[in-house]
Amino acid sequence: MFTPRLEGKRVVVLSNNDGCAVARSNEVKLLGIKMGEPWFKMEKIANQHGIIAFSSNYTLYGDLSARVMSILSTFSPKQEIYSIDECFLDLDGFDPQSLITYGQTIRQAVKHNVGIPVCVGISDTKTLAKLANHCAKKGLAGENGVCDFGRMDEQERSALFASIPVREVWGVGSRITEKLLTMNIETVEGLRTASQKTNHISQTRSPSTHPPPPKEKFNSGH
Amino acid sequence: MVGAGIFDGDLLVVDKSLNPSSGDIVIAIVDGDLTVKRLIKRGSKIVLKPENPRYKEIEFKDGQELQVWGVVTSTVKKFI
Repeated sequence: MFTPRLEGKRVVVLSNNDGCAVARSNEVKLLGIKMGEPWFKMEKIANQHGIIAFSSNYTLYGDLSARVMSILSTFSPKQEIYSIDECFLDLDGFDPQSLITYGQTIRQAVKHNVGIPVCVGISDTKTLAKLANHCAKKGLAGENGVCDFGRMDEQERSALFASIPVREVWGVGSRITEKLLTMNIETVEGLRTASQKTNHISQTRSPSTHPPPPKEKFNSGH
Repeated sequence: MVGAGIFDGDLLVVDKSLNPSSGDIVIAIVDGDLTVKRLIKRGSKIVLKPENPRYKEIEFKDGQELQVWGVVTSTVKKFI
């Protein structure tokens, strides 16, 4: 943001005392450098590929996060800040037809007023909104960083969910993923269509079993 | 930018939410660096004018993209 020439470059941000990589630009992710990789392990590769490393500045990130959240708060009467780079906005009562356009407006406002690129995921539950955000961020569905599951038909959604590993679902960690794998549930679609009688996990974890009002979710993602 | 009253070491207040118009002092991105200049629209051309006779104007012609990072709204002078 403050150093435009870094755009498109291989950049990592290191944790306190420059220990591990805590943030990576997409160009670095492509090199296969993992989140949390210690600097001493990647130093050689970093020098080879001209990776630029920075120490972290958490005060600055907190400040920028507050700016982003403050802009987002103007787009809904109800905002729930979930983490430094994520929040839910309640869009209950908004015209369902125009939510994609609304999402674009929100995205542009954050980009213009702060300079941080964010993605928007829209759906009926927080779990699904987070998944929609994942799809927007990875370019799996939606357009220009906005994905609204409500504007996709059943068939499209099924095909999309069948292409996403179940571990991408909010709350499904490595252990539940393992357990689900033993039940032959590998994808989001597998989890969604799993029989609730035979699978107690799907009762508590399946996105389709949570019925709160429409939510929208943001996540900064470069 | 001494001609606009901005000197080395001054603190600038920048509003990113404003849309720049001709005559505004802006922070622009030129060759990957941030720079402060006055934005001037001359016919179809856009010019970044350094308010300092020692530097040259930067012209943007058709097809060249100028990225404005923010609009400078005020400056703070430090005495120490």
